Amino acid sequence: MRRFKRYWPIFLLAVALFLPALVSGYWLRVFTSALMFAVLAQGANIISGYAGCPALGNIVFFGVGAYGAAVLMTALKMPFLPALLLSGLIGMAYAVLLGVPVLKTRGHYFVMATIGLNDATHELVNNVDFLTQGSRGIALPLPETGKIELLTFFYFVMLAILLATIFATWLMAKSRMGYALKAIKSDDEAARAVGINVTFYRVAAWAMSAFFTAMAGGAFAYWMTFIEPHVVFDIVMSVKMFIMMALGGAGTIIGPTLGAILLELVSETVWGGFPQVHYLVLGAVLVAVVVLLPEGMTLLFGKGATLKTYRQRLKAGRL
Amino acid sequence: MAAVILKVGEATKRYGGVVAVDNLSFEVYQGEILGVIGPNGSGKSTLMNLISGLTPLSAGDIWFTGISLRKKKTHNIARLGIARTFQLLKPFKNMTVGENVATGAMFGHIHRMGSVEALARSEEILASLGLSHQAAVPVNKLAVAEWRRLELARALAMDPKLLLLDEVMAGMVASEVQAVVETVKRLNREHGVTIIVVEHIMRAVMSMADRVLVLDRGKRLALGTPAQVARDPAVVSAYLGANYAKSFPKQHEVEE
Repeated sequence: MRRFKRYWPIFLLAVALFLPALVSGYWLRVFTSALMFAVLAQGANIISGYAGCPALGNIVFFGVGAYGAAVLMTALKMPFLPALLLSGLIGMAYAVLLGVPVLKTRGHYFVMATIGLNDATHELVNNVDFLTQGSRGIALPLPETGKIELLTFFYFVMLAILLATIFATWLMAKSRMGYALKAIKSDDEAARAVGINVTFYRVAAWAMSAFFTAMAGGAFAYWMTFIEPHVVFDIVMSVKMFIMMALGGAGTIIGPTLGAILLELVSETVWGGFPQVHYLVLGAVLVAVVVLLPEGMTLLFGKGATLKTYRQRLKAGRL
Repeated sequence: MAAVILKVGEATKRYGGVVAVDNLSFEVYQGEILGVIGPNGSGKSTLMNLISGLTPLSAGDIWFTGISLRKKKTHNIARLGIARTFQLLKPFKNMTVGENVATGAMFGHIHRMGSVEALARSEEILASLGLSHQAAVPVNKLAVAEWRRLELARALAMDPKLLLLDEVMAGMVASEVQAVVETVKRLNREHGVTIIVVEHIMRAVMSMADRVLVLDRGKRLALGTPAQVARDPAVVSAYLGANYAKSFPKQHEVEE
């Protein structure tokens, strides 16, 4: 058991690498989508779990990245990989530009401001017709390979983005930035008083979050080959990625990925057959997580996870 | 006389109609321990917030080693060499004791250091305060009294030139107060840190301060050696009320 604990990331990675050989078609698409949501949940984790700024409108960067890649590949005929990287940088620039005013707001105001930012950007994309073709949506050039390889290709693109996100989060968490963000999350006055430039680190965290979220958007656009504003600026996706983050464990390195994969798979298998009550169940999961497991799933497998601590937590009304 | 390290010049802070700090001027000399006392609401904590930049001045200015702090951001003031503790404690509750102290070293120290170097420095600081055994303990597992010592350790990790102690002794029993007094004196003596101590415990302030500043309703009531201040009738009447003047030592202990 202890050995398993130490090697499970490697085990998971091996499974992830060989998955396309094991499953195909529909299920490969489900897993690709789960990986994409894992990137989004990690992005939410950087700004919310680490920096303590609940940017509920974070999906705005997904949309910006999707449209960034789409415009670069149609108007400029840019190949996919450079367009993908640039879409990430565009998202990042957007976060830096808007982060300075938006991150000055606090608490509920900040949450509202980020939702407003998403809506405003959505409207902007609807109206910059000459670039985005407005609410009609935009078609990307079709990839040229066969159908099966294409699915595998997008699976590995999402996996690569996810691994890059996790690696970057890990590096960030043990660097000066990780300490700064934890301090800011705990108490921003005390953080200032020990010499931390709070605005700088908040903006840096949002830029990092936006970079990976936008790359996921860029990959999504090429994968779908057709995107519309209401699909890529969908606030429900944002809510979903925050639930995944909370479920897995906010402020942990691997938690949001686990939360995303678990929720996506459960949603496909269990309640995928009940589209009418899908959101009801999603909402119930969020309430259950916040009440029963506020620190997230990773706590169940962490260092102090013994039968005794489970019992104590259950008595205290938590899992 | 030693050089002036901090100069407060006609500093004023208004909150609407309330004047928390009223046209206050004084100087702090390099290497001294300055005690600041005064009744509740006399502007002690506001003064600390004005010096550390958490509260902007309404008028006047504060100079640290000749540099005006009026337009400086809090984090830049910290990096100039001013560290502080908080009356309402603010340790980083999502970290261990060691990480808290390391964060102080990482961002507040004049030399920019990475997390590894800062953690090493944090071990030294904790050792010097006899807290090594707590390095790996998460802050939320500590007793609140231990948070005060942690805040002191975090401030010291910044290697400050000026240390602002905002009621670090509140809620401590006599023996703990004595220990803090000794620590503060030792820091001052060994490292030459200039210290401003805001306290309610008058006796503790009197025993360690070189000079004492007495505030009343945001104004400077008196400034002098502890002996001068203790004999000042205005101070006695403002701080304790004329009726308590005679029973001062006893009354003071009941209060704590």
